[in-house]
Amino acid sequence: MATRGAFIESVLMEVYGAKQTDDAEITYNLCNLYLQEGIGVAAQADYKGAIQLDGVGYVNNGFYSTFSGLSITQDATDNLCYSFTLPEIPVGISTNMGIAEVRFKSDGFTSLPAIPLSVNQWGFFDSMRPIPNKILMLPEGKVVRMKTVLILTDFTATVKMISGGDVTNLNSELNVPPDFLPVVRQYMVEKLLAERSVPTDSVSDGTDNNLKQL
Amino acid sequence: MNIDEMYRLMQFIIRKNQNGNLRPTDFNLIINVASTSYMDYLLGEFQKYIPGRPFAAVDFGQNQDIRQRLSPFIPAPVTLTIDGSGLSPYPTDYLNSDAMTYGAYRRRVKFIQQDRLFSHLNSYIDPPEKEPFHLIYKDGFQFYPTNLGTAYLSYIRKPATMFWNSTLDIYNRPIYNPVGSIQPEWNELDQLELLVRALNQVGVNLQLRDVEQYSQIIKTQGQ
Repeated sequence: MATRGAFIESVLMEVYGAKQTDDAEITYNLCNLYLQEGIGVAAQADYKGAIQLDGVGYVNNGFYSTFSGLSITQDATDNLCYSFTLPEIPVGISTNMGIAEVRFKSDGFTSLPAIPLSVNQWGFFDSMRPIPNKILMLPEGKVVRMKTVLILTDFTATVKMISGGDVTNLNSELNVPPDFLPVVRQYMVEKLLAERSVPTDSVSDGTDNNLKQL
Repeated sequence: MNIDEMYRLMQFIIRKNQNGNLRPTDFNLIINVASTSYMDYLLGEFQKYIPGRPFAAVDFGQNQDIRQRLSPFIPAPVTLTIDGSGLSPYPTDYLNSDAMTYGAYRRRVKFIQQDRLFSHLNSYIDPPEKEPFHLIYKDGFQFYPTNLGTAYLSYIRKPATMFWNSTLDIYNRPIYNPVGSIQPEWNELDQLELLVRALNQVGVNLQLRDVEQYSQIIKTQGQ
C-alpha cells in the first residue's frame, strides 16, 4: 500500500504527464487537501454501493483507523462534562458512521465503548437520570463531547473512525482499500486538471482579467 | 576550433580581398555579439511568443540536446548565503536561473513574480515555511521565509568574452597571438552557429547580400 506522498506523486504524474518541474503551481499540500476530500467521496461511494448491493449501509473496515492517546478535558459547553478533539472531522456518512467506536483507557484498563447519540437525541438524554457506568458521547465536528458520572480526565480516548490515516504526515500509510483508490484518484485528477486548464491572469496590469479576456 | 580558426574561416567566407575587410577589432566585437545572440536563442527568445502562449521555438530545458549545448555555461550548483532580510546577491557571472533548492533533500524554492507575493506570503495551504519561494530583484534574490539561511542555485553563467589577440609584423599586419587570446567556450557545433550569426552581421554591415543570404540559408536549413 502506498504512502500519502507516493499516492500524491502518482496523481501529479498523471496530471503533469511527467515528474513536476520547479515551476509547478500544484503543491503536495494542495493535493493533500484534495486527497482528504477524495477519501470522503470514496467512503461515500462504498456506503452507497453497499446499500445497492446488500441493502444495508456500511463502510468497509479498510477505511477505518484507530487513534489513541487523545487527551480528555473538562467541558462546560452546553452543560456537558468532558470532551476531546479528534485528529480530523469525521466523514458525514449516515447519522454518525464516521466514528465507529470510542473507548477510554487508563493504566491498562479499557472501558466499554461509549454510547453515541445524535444531536437531537441529546436533549432527551440530558433530561434523564445519568446511567451508572455508561458514557454517552456526542460527536460534533472535530470535538467529541461526553456525559458521564465517571471522572474521565484521568483517561485518554481511543477512537476508531473513517480516516485516510495521518493527514499531517505524507510519509504515513494511505488508509484506503485498494479497490477504492481509483475513486480517490479520479476525484483528485478531475480537480487538478480543472485547475491546470483555467487560464491564469499573468498580466500585472491592475485589472482582474476574466476568462474571456485571457 | 580556436578563436583564430574562427576568424580565418570568417575571412575566407566573406572573401575579404574582393568584398571587404574584417578587422580584428570588428571580429572581436561581432563574435561576442553573436555569442550573446545565440545564448538568447537557446534560452528562449520571447520575440517568438504569441499571445496566450509564451513559448519560444527553442527553449532552455526543452530537451537534453539544448541543455548539452549550454553545458559549458552551467557550473556546479552554488550555495547562496541568505542574509537576515532574506536577500542574496547574484553570482558575479550570473546570467539566468536554472533551479533553486534548499535543505538536505534539495526541496525547491519556487520562483514567483512580485504581483503574487502577497498571496504566497499569506497562503493557508502553502505558507512560506512549508513552501519557500524567491523573487528576483536588481541586486539579487529575495527569499521567503527570510530565515532560510542557505539555498542552492543552478544557473547559466555568462560566456567569457572571446578575444583574438594579435601582434603586428614588420608590415604592420596583425598576426594571431595565442597568448592573450581568449578562446571560445562553446562546443564545436555551436561555434558554427556563432559564425553564422556573426556572418549575418558582417553581411549587413558591408551590404554583402551573398554573405547575408548564405548565413540565412545556414540558419534556416542547417549547416
